[in-house]
Amino acid sequence: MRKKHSSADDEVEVDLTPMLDIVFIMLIFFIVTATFVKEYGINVAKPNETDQPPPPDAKPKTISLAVTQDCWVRLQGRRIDPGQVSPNVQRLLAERPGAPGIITIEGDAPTKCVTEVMDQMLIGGISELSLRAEESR
Amino acid sequence: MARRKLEEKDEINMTPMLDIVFIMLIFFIVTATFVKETGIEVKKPMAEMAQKNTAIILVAISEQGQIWVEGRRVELGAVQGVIARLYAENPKGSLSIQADEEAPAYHIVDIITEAKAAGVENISVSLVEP
Repeated sequence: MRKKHSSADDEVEVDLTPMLDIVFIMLIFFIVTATFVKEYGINVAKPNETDQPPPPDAKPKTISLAVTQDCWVRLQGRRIDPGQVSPNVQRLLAERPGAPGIITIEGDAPTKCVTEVMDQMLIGGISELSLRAEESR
Repeated sequence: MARRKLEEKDEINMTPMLDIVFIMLIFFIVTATFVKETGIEVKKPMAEMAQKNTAIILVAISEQGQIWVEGRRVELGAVQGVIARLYAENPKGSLSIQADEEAPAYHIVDIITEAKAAGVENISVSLVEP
């Protein structure tokens, strides 16, 4: 009787059901925990020689401007509106193509002003951006 | 002989399904990146030129300039260590700074400095598309 049940035919089959259960549970766990984070942002590149202040106007290789506390932009000694940054940057970029942009943050300038200026600089055609804070704060 | 044939037909062949399930399982294991949320909700500024990126390490700066990582508030002095640890877990991970609109922007520079010191190359400022 016993011998008949455990015949060679029966023994070759492995019951896959428990393994399948485990695999399914793992699959569901990984599907549920899969978070495909979608982040939007502007890359801030590694600022070269960031420790030294932006070069003086005599030999400018970069396009540097400052964002003031009251949300204005200082560019080459002029005070301009953040919305006017991109045409100015375009003009400067024509003189020195490929120049990286450096934004100096003055005092407690809020993030939204700085990001707006970053945005404007990218619209103006700058490919590499870096941020620095004013030393005296 | 006839009876045996009938018995074999009853069983469904699970092998192809098992193959597919295994492949899906491996895919999800490989792509699983456990992103640690910052723990606070910030109002991100808007920008037209914002690009999509895949950030793994998230650092938030609240309106008051507090730094949040992994659901905890972190002092500026401790940020470098936290970022270095998260970066070691995900060496390909890029860092995204989620700064509040009203937060003073120099905090972003502080975080960039700390992240660079921790060895992170890819740093971006998180924004929303208009």
